[in-house]
Amino acid sequence: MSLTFKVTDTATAQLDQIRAQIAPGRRRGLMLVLGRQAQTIFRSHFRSREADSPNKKGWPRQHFWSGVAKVTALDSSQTTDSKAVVAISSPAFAAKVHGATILPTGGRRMLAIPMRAEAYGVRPSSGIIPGLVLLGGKSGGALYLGKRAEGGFKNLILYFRLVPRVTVRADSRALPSVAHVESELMKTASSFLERTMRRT
Amino acid sequence: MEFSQPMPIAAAVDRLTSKTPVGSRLNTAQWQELSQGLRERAFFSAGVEKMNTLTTMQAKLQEALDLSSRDQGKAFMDRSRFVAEMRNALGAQPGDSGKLTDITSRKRLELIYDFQKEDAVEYGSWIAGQDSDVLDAFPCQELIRVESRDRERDWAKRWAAAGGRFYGGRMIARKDDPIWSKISRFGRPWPPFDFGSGMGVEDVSRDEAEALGVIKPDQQVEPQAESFNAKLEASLPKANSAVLEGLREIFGDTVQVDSIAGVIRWIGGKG
Repeated sequence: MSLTFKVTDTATAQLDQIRAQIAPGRRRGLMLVLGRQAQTIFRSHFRSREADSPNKKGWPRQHFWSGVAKVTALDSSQTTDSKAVVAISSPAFAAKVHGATILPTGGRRMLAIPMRAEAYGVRPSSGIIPGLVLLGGKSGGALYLGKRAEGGFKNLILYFRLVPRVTVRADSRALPSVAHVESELMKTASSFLERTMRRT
Repeated sequence: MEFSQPMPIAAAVDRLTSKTPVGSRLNTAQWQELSQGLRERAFFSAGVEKMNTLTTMQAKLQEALDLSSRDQGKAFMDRSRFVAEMRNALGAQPGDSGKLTDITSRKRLELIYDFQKEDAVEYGSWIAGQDSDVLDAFPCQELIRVESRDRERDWAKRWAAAGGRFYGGRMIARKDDPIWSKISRFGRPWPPFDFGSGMGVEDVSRDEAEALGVIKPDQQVEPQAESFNAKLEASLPKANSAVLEGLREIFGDTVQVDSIAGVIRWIGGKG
């Protein structure tokens, strides 16, 4: 008795189909999926920073980190066969990543740093806090914007401290770790390929 | 992974710039009675009639989205700068009324800034998410809190009332589920779903969605952009001539009234 075995190659055609679907020139779909996952990773990271970064002075929150999350999105118009672009439309965030020296613009010579909760998130030029006057500066001392409270000219309420520049230190936790991002994107890419294989 | 510099989100910029400023005395409730087809194409703020105010507002919001301040050597447009410059443009009195009905108040202007910016970016995210490969990989999304509030609305109740299902307490649905428009005060399937809600959406992967039972294995979710636009066209009102003429009085040259057919068509802007 003899047995005959017939070996049939069923894999090559399937592999060829898979390869065709992710061949150069046909990878934009995969890049869009990876970019979308990256959007989720970054937004989630910024929201976790919102949760663990309360205002140190206990002032009403300006929601900086959730604000960064809200302007983070996959830009499909810039996503190509070889790259996915996740845009973070926040110049203030860029300062957190790299560090920066902030200087006044628009003809101003000083920056106004809030000293009270009611001045937080407010520009002196808005007029929201009326009656602000320039205080201090004698003998090269600090300059402030404030006003006199009731009870005599010695009772001053200081709303802003005026400085020529502000240095923002780079925040090492501004971005999620590269290892985490890569790990999550690998899982996404694997799922994409598994679905592709299953459906061919 | 490379982080270079802040950049605008093209679809978000397009969303804002495609809208036509429409001045009107209508309040928020009255605007919401108008068809979505008209509301989606108009850049408006309740009770604001002056076109100059609206065009100035739209230009500043555009600057916030397209980051063009960088090219002009100016400080970037952020919320505090928007409020300060709009107050100056409006000739605001010193001090702050704190009232939402006061177009010069900090509360009102911050709401406008936050709402318009979030709507534009989330629209961009929604549009990008309508790609068939993206929908296949992330067919569902979850309603989540993205920002804390002193007083939070009961979104679980709102979700349930709109027919939403819960998965381990989580509010998840397919992206083509009508619930997304139902929970929205504005009838849009993308956030914000209400003024100052603090709620947003997060993609749920196909693997997770199938494991939770939100979607059947390999079940496809269809892109919604075309049907959403078709719905906008359908919602342009058909009414009697008095109502149509009243709408033309409100919207001016941005609409065309066909009294014979009994329809009003949007002709202003790119929308």
